[in-house]
Amino acid sequence: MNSEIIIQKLEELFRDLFDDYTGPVTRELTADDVEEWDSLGHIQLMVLIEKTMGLRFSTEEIRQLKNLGELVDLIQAKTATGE
Amino acid sequence: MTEGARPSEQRIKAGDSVAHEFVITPEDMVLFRRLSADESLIHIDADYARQRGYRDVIVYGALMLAQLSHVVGQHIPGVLGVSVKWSITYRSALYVNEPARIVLDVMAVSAATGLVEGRYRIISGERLIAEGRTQSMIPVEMIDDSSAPD
Repeated sequence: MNSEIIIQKLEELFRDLFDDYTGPVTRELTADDVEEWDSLGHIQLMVLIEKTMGLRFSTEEIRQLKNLGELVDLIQAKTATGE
Repeated sequence: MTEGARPSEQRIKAGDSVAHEFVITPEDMVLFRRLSADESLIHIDADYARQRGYRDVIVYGALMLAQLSHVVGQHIPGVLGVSVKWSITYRSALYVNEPARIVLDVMAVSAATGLVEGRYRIISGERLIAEGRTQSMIPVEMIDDSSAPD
C-alpha cells in the first residue's frame, strides 16, 4: 500500500475519531496540533487502525511515534511485509 | 445471577462473553430518584406514563447503566479495568419488577494498548431494551490476543 493511500485511509479514521479537528491531515501533524489527540485518543486511534487495517502494533512501536508521517511509514512497512 | 463469569486472573480475549440477570425494584427507583433528583414524570407518575402509551412508569436508564457498571467492574474486564467510554441507545421501555438480562461480548482487544472493546445488549424476554458499546483499559499482560491478525 503506498503512502498516499495510507494517509487517505488515516484521514478518514482520524476525522471520525477526532471530529472537532478541521485542519489539514498531513505527515507533519502531531498530537500537539489536535486537542482531542491526547493519550487516550492515541490509544483509540491505534486500535481503530489495527481493526480496520488488520494490523497489529507493539507497545514500543506506538510509544515511539512522533507524528502522523511516522505512523504512515510504520503502516507501510507492516503492509509491505504482511506483518 | 451471572453466567460466564471469569476468574479475575484469567486473561481477556475477543469472544469472551458474560450475562447478568437483574430486576429493578420500586425501592431502587425511590433511591435513585432521591440520589439524582430526577423528577421526570415518566419515572414517577403512572397516569402520565399511561397517557404517553406506556403501561406503567419506566425504569430510569441510569439504573440499567448501574447494572452495566456491575458487569464491567466485576466481570469484563473486571476489577483491574478502567472504563474510558460507554454508549447506550434505548430501544424500548423496561418496567419496574420486570426481569432483564444484560449480555456483554468482547469484540476486540489490543495487546499493544490494553484496550478492551465490548458490545452489550439489555433484553427483557424477547424485547431489546437497550444496547451500546464499552471501552476499558486493563494492564496489557491481562490481554490474550492470540486470535488477533498475525
